[in-house]
Amino acid sequence: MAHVLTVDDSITMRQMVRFTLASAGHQVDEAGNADEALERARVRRFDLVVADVNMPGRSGIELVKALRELPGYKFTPILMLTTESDAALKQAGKAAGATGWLVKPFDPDTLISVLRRVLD
Amino acid sequence: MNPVALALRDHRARVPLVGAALLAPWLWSIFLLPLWAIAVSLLLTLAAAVFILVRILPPARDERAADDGGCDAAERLRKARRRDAEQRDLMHQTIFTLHTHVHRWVNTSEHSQGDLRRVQTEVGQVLKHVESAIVQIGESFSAIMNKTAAQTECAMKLLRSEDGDQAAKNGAWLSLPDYIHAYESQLSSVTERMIEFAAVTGAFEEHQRKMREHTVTVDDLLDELRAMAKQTGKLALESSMLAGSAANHRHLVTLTDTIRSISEKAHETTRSIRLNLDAIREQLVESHKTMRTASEIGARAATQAKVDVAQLNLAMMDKTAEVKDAVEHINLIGNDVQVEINRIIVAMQFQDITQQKLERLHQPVLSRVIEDLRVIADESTRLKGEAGYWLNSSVKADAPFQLVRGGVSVPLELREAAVIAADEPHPVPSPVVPKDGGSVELF
Repeated sequence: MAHVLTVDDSITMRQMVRFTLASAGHQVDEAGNADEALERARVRRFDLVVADVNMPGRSGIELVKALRELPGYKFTPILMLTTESDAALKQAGKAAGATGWLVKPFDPDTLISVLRRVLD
Repeated sequence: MNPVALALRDHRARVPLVGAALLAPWLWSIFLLPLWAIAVSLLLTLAAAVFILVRILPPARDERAADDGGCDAAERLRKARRRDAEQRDLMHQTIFTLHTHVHRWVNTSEHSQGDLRRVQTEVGQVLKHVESAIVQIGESFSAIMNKTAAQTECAMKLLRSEDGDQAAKNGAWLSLPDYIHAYESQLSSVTERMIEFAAVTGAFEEHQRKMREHTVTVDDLLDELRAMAKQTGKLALESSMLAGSAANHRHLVTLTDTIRSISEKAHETTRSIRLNLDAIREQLVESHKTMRTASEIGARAATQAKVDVAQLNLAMMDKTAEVKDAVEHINLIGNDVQVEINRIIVAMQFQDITQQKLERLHQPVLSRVIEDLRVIADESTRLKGEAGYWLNSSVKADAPFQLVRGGVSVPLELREAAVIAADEPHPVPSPVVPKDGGSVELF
């Protein structure tokens, strides 16, 4: 069982991620923006972070950069879950240190399988 | 204004002359006519003067230039041309501003049309997504409800007879409670038979115990017979020795009595042994009967139990297969339900994406369109008022237009004005402060 942090300004999307991952036996914490996510990440270490790109305040890519600077998050898998599919944005996410890029809407089975792959 | 007063004002220089000319013929009669005739004559003269001023004499404006002895013709002409130029400039500025405004209105409306087309497209997609999501959610919920009902039905089948009571009586497709009752009944029957068998076994054990007791008695009697035989042997030896000597006749008699006594005792013992053997035989017969009964009961119970259990086992195997099928079916339905839930998750994500798209549309695009239209409306309202004033004091429409650039008036045709207006930067209207106090950013 992994401890996952989902970051999205949409409560619906957070609930969908939580429902999907919890049904697969994972423990899920939620954050509504990048700052809240960083606070939670400082308090405890997560095995995986699933973050949106477009959020009020700091973007998801900035969150990835900030997370990579935290101790213990250098190799933590970080998945970007967004409606954006622009290649340049994907490249920016990759350069920032994101592990994967999922385009919304996600298929629950796909999300779970991707999670297993990156955690293995 | 009163035409009489206007005529008096315009011909104020001529009024004394006209009055004198009209009164002169009457001067000679002042001293001849009575006073009332003079008054009537003065009134008639005054009326005649007014009539001449208003109706006969030409308007004073037409002759002003000719009569204005203080201005020369060149100066008046220059003034008139300057007024014309000013009014043409005013007219041109009005038309130029109107044209610029219309040009901006066209640009803004085209831009707004583009935004609105984008809004229309996005809203169309949004509606499509929302409709798709709603339909998908509804179908998924309906499917989940149907599948849950099927699961329940499948589970309930395990708890009731497939074909009703008649089938249950025939031993086919009993419900699980029926199976439990059948097993309970079967177990009770077997238990009763086993208790019966145990009772028979108890009787058999009693016979066995009695037989052991008789056996012990026979052993004791045999020991006694062995002792008597040994004693008889000794006595026989002694009697033979006594018979050889023939001296101790008294001893021989005593010995003979003893032997007789032993013989009687042996006879008694033999009779006891016979009785014990008879008892043992009898017990053996009873034991045999008991054992036969027990065997028959046991065999009957075992056979019956075997038959019953075999029937129940067969039925239970069928029921187990049915349960297995039902559980597999329930699992399949559960998988289908999971698929439907996944679809709902996807549909709800569509809903969320749609909401975000609407928010993005609502804030930048629609706000900009609304602000543009509001600014244009304000400008149009202001310009309408100004144009009304300018048009009230405008010059002839066919006069050539002039564009004032750096204080120099340049004649301009309408078509040229349109081209210049399109090329020149549009005047930036003053920012409009919205009601909520926020600033407006114009593009």
